[in-house]
Amino acid sequence: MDVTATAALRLDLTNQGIRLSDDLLAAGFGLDLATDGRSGAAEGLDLILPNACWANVSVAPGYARTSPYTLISAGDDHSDFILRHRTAGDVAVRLPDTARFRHARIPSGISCGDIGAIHGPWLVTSPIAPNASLALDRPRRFLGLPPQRPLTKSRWSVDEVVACAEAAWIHGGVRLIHLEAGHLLADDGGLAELAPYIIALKRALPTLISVSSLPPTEASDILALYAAGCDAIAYHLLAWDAAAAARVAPVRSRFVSHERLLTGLTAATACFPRGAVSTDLLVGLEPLADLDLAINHLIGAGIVPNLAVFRPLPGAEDDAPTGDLVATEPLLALMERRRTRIHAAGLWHSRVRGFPRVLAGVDPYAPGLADRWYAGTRRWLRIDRPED
Amino acid sequence: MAVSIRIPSVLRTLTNGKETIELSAGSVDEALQKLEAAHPGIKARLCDENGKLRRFVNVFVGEEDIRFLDGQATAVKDGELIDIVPAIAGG
Repeated sequence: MDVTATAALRLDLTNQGIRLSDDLLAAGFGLDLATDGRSGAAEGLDLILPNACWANVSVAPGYARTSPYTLISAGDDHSDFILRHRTAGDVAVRLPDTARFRHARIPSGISCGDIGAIHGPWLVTSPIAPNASLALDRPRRFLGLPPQRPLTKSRWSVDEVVACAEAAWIHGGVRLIHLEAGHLLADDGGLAELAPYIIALKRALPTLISVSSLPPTEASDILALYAAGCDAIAYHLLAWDAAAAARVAPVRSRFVSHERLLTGLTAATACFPRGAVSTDLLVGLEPLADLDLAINHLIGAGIVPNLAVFRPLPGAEDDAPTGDLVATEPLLALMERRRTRIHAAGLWHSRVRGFPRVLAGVDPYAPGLADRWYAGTRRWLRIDRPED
Repeated sequence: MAVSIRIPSVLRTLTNGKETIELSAGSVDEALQKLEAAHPGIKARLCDENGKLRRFVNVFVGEEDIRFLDGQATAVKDGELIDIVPAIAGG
């Protein structure tokens, strides 16, 4: 299967979800996902498609009830599966083995799975506000990463996050780290509190780090975050139309205006490398033609627009999604136009264009030495030179 | 042997919300039986009708997956932690 076909499959799966075969459910497959919407059914299941492309796919029965895809066991192995389409045939897929990472405990006794989650080469964690994504706006949960277990702590210490990242490096093949700030009311979007984590992580591991947060009101805060070692930043518009964004993020919209998000994105492009400032747009909240124009505008401003499919809320899997389901073909065409424009605008070079739990691209994000050298050198040129 | 079993969040409704259950057992199998006695219904979520662990349920004793030890017959030492970890995870 070539990369284009994989991209189409990923999009179709994300759009339609997967039904689980009865034998999988009987074998305990649904223990953590399919049987309990509150624990993550609507968040989706991580699958590894051909070409090592990761997808996060809803297995919530309500959402996937009309899906033509069924997941079937391919044998006794834990990780080999067949993805069966009602008419198009079978594709071999794999499940990531993250159990050892999730089980691993850091010296303070906390399981790594409580602190962060692995998605491809990424470790994703919300160190300063583990439950913030819940408090902020429930519809945003799938864009971030919710804790897998009820948490008792309001935040993780720097040492805990570093220990978790080291375990993810060893047990999960993680090479990139994404931090969710999740603050709602702080003027700096919580960025100042993230800086010590970034400095410590960069000291411990040869990684690149991305952050998603709310935009700070002062431009100096974003420069400080970049100086601390952050390699990419994302503020999520959710929709180009402010009213559409407010429908899915009503709490956020009361405190953070669309204008502040756009201003913050523009300010970040003056600080970060080209291609390292991104925003997520939810497909289905506004007409595709409007989304097309928004993509054009954002790329023209040096901002990478990532596309995500709106999915149902945990515990509400039988409710219709707020957005309209968009047909796969026009969305694929839109994604291709986006890819072409990003190339033309020279935004393609950054290795961290925001945490890719979205539809944009099927790149195997795996920075090499050259990427880290470039990141360090640019930062030195931008920040550290005394004459500047 | 006094051992602890860590319960995944999805099953804590069956343990009155308790994350860790303390009990006395000499093997994983015995621990699962005693867990069922104390919290009826939980074993059916972990094991099939023949009492064998379901394929997508991982059990670790200390740092090791019991599939690489002696399976459910794996002995447990005093003070050891048995950690139940679903094989799959989403996000």
